[in-house]
Amino acid sequence: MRRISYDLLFVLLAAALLFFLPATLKALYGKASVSYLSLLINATGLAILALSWDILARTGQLSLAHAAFYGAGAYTTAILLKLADWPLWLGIPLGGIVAVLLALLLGSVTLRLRGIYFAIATLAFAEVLKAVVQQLPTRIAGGAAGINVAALFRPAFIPGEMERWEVAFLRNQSYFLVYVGILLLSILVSILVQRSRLKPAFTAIRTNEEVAAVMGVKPARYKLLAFALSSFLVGLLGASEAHRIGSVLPDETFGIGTTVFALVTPIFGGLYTTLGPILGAAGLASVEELLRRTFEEGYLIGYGIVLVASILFMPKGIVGLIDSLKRRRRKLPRSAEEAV
Amino acid sequence: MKKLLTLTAALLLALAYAQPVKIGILSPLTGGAAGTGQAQKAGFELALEEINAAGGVLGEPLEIIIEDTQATPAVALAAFEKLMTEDEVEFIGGGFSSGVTLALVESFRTFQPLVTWIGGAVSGVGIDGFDGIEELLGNEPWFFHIHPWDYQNTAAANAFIASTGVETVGLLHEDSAFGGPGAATSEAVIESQGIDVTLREAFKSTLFGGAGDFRATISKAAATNPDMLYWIGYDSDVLPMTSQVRELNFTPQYIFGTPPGWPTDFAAAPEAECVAGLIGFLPNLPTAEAQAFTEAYTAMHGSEPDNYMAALAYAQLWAYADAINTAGTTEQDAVIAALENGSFRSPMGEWSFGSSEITSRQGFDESMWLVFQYQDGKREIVYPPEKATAPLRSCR
Repeated sequence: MRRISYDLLFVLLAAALLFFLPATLKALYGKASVSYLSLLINATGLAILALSWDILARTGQLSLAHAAFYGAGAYTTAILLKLADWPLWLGIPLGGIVAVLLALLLGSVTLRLRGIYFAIATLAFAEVLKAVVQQLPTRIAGGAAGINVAALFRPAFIPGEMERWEVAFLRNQSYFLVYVGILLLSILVSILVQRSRLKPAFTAIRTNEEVAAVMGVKPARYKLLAFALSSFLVGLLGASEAHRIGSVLPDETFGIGTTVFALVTPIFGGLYTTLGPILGAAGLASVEELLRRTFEEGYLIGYGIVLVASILFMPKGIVGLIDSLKRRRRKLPRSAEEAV
Repeated sequence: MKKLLTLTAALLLALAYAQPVKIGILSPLTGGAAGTGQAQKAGFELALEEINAAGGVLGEPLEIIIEDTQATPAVALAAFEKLMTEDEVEFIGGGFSSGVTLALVESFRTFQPLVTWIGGAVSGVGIDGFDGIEELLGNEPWFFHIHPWDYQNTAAANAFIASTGVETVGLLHEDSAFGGPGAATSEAVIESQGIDVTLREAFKSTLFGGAGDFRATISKAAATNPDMLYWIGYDSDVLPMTSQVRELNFTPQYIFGTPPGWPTDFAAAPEAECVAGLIGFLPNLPTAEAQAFTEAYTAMHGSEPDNYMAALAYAQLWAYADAINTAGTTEQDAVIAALENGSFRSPMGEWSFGSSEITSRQGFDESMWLVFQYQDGKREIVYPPEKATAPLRSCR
């Protein structure tokens, strides 16, 4: 209980810091804060993507369907606005709910699949969902051309009272706070999973599903729960991103890149932890931007080298590296640390 | 002495304020559309060297800052905002991908820089319930479009098809925003010319993760025995599509494709023979401008330009340089007027901004397109007749 209180305190502190971050950036960097906020929004989105995927991975399910749930959230809000002119904000939670429904459907039919077979089934699901969206009547889902999605925030420019970049700042600040809100919700969900009996249940299923079942853990129930939590969070992200990007297009919204980043980032940061995917997102986003600004040509080669090196020399990600440094300082053997 | 001091101070002040003109470029240098982005970059580099050798812009060397969009909307948005707020550019160039352009609409409207934009061809005209780029930005005085719109591309392809005298066409198209809406429009236009479309079938492009196995789709088309196989896809689909057509012994009279670009050295592949395609520029275009561009490009980059995006990028940067020099200032209204009223150099010949369905600031229309055919390991221009370097050959 005390650990949960500490965790909640940490989340509240992080929330307070992040809430004031845009204003701090504006005070420090002026108009450049618009650009920095844009990068922070992308990094926050990556952290949500990674953490939501990691929650499912804790049950041992290597899902390649994350793009499907992201796309489901995005298309839900887009279709609702197109057909019924619903309130803008309603599409975001509904996007999460539709993603959950699809995840429960996928989860229930893939319960018996494991390893590579499960991965292939989830990958196929993402492709099928994209094809279904493309085949829906154009008046519903827009076909291959996609659907325009209205912006959540449209701050007005007041000539004489503000500069144009301040409009962009207000818009980015608002989106940043939305993304931070979803990230904090993801962190809370992750902490609750880690600090409740769900953690041993998820770990047992990941380690050996049969043994877990013998021990009284119900794999089907927990796996579906993990699917639902994970898809809800990424569905929220997809819906929010659709408003920010201004459109949904089948190939981009359901793009495999979403799944790849969702998978690579927690590996880089540290799997099966709350901090790992967040550190992974911060690390990867920073490395990419630093390399991009340093090298005009071939910055992605450097990015690739960093990724390969991290997998070779940090098999447990950034979190694993931090743990190992802590162990060295305390001079604790690996087994002693794990026992703690 | 006092006069001399005043003069010196004024000169120093003028030098301090004589900032070089900076143009921010958004281009997909990496990712799935890197071929296009790299071609644009090569075109910009050549134009920049020529512009600065000719005295630069407003007496200062022109500067360009190229940002990689990866053809990804969120990355492009961050890149554009960096150009506007960190690099503080007043002019935006480059451009590619309708998805990226749609993501930038809101931010373009916020900052309202002067934008000249290549690509982003999905106009929205004729698509119910969807606002495309021409519909969203066509009436903005600061937005100039430098690439034919989707309906102009369709018109160019259909004019060629009609000119061949074929009676039946089998139409295969990739299923994204590029090939999907275009194919539906093409089918309607082809049939309105009295040509029967025997089949319209979608396939998944290799650009979007397709396996590159088009055999089932090609077999369906072959079963309808059309005079022409017309396919709409991406550069990466060229090789599997053409090799599988041969493998399945499908021999229509003409094989015609309209990907945005064609693979380098494809001409040397046996599958290439007789394949026809649509392209914006070819090095063997028989004009003095094309020859001069090709020679300069080859001298700088060591190979001939094989993607028309290089020619468009070259035209775009020169248009900016000429317009700003004509205006004599970087003040936006003056440069807009210079762009609207000027005529500019390009490898495709002299051009100016005119009207399309919605906008009155449209550079290049369907007349930009050439149809070429691979003949004996070379790309010969076969349409329009006034630019042809060889007659069209039948594949049968």
